[in-house]
Amino acid sequence: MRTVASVLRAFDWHFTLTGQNEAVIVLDRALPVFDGHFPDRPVLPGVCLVDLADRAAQVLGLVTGTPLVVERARFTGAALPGDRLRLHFTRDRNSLLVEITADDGDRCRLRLGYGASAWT
Amino acid sequence: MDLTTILPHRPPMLLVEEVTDVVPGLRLTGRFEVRHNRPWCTGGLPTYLVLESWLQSAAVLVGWALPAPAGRLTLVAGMRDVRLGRSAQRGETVEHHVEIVRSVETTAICTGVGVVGDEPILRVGQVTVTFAGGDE
Repeated sequence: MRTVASVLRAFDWHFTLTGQNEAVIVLDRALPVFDGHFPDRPVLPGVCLVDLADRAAQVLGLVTGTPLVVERARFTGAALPGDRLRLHFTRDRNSLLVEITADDGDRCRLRLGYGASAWT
Repeated sequence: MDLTTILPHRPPMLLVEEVTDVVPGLRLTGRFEVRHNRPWCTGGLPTYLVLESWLQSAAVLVGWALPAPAGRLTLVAGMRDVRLGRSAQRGETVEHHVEIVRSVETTAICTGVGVVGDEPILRVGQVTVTFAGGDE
């Protein structure tokens, strides 16, 4: 039985950096988020894809600070427990374009806006 | 109102606790208090979970007048122009104001804000929320 204490803090994603603009993460089936989203059909919330994209961009050294605007997000497939997600980043002026794909297809495309001082 | 009759979300991912005002099909106000012993809230509620809380309020509005077949899920198909202000600190209550811009059957485009007191901490240009699946 998972305790409340184990989910008090927000997510701690663990990436593998696979290129200057790429990272990979495997969604651990034991992530507590899947307990409640949703109990019978676990799916990673779209907002978590936004968060892990931002965190990966920071680990890669592409940006510092958090995004100010989700300019656009299009969720095309459900991110499921055990998925191996590949995140690919492209800069477009002060925006970061993110493509997230799994081995069996696209999951989402994001356009995240950062302040001018966020770029490294 | 038991919101779990509308939402498929359950702890630790149930991030709206109360509806204080609703005009079905038009608008809704939902609330979430950031208590220190709540999941994800030890360091305050991060901006992206403030957004998740707002999205759940939007799903309550979209699902308010719908039948509730077992196994139905809420999904966010897309977002545009979502301005992330700040996280919500422990002890603060976030109030989510949601309006439906347009809806067709089980899908709606929603807009609104999340506020703490009079301070907007989230502005949502538009999101598309849909209910899918279930034993209909």
